[in-house]
Amino acid sequence: MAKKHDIFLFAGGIAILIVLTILDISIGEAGMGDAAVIWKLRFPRALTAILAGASMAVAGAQMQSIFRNPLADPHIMGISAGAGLGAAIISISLIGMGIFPAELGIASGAFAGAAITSLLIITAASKIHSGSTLLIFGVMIGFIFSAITSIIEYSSNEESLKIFYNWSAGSFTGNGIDNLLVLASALALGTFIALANNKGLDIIMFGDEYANMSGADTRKIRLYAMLSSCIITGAVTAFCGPLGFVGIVSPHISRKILGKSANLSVLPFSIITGGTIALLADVISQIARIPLPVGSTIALIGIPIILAILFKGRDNSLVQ
Amino acid sequence: MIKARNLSIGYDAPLLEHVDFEIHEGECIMLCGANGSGKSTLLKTIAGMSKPLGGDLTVAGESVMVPTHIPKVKGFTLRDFIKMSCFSFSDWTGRLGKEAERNMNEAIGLMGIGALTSKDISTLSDGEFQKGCIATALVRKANVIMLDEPTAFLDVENRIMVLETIRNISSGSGTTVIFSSHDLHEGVKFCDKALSIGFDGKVRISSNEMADKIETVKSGFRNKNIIFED
Repeated sequence: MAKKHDIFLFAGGIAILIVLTILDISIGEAGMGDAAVIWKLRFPRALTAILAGASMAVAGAQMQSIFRNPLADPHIMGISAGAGLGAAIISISLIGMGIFPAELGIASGAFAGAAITSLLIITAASKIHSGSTLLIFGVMIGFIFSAITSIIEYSSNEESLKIFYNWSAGSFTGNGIDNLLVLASALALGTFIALANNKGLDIIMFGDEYANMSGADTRKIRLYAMLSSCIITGAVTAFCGPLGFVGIVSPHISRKILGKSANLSVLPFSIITGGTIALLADVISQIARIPLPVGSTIALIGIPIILAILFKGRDNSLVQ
Repeated sequence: MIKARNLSIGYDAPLLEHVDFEIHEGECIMLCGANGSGKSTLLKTIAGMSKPLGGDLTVAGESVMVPTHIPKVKGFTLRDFIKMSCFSFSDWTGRLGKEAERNMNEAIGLMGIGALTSKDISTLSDGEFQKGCIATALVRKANVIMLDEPTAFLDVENRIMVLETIRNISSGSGTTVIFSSHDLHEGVKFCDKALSIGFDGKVRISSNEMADKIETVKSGFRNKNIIFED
């Protein structure tokens, strides 16, 4: 019965995603008439939105479990701030000096920044036992990186600032097949690690003591979750900019719809909800016909959803 | 069953030294002492979660400890929660083998929580959830079960219910049960012996006599106005 119910929900989610994709690629002056526009421009953009949203949702679900914190996501852990610093350094120094082409330079800078931050957090996760201490470590790292980014921005010229700002506002456009393959591979690898770790992600929500006494190794669980989140976030941030909110809100929506918190169901369902939210943001951006930064649009969609969850009914908390 | 000789426990520095006691198979022991006296550390040491700093500690068979105040995470049924405690005995999807599944059903039956297993744990009363927590220890078929403050945060009715359950496990299955508690008046009635960590750092164990149990409990505290009524 429960399995049938789950299959129905998954099928419904996928159907919504398909409808939104069709809607997303059909909006625009050319309508559905111009095949080149659809396949070279709109479809890659829709696919980028789905992959990016799904990726951030998988990362968010894992972080909320390991930190037992309903607001945890790659942003809170400072990974996006690290990517931002990498992007700022490259855009303001190398691109400004004409050493790197803007797009490639900013993507590599962001990826390197996310990877270095991730390495720092993974190293810390292998030494720090407490989830809250690790969370504080991530938040502090994020603050430091954001502060350095602001200093760099303050002393840079207008052109470099514009390049950096365009990246930091977030965008799903301009990704070719190569970038899409990187995004899809990162999502596949990250999800594989997360699913292999699903039992650990469940038990760690009941506390380190309980998990350890049941035979789980909480340090390994955190390490694998961080590794998976880092691979995913690095790729998404490099090609789409720092995407906030979708990582926080998607796992909550998934738990609410499924009526359970087991990660074996929540992780795959978050792929659907994350992809749907990001795609919805893109649809709104297209309908508005004014350049809306994707990060802001996602926040504008996500905040009402999370507020509705919080205020609807009495049982709205993740942990009692 | 459990023998401690000149045992030292603690983390970086010794918290308790020269600890000597002996607990026999099937006994129900109440561990008491002031906050910070070392009750949880002693339980963790017996459970093998913390290494002794010195001396000898012998525990025959497997020991399992249920920590105090496990959060009731929403979105898991009581059956999911109990199943999760068999972490090492399940496949990657969490499915249990036949023997572990049988042990789990036995533990659920023994605790009388069959009707609650499909309920979300966030909807259970604290007493019902505590029974589920005890079942997570039973399912492992351990010889020694340790419960860290199982009656904390419970109202009087649930406290008695949990203490009765603990008593029944010990007398019914021959499992040694050690529970730490601040509910001295109630706990002393349900335990076979009292194990007390004194304000002076001395660990004392009582006989089965009620008067001795009360005296041992009292010896753990500086304030002598702790009154035990019939």
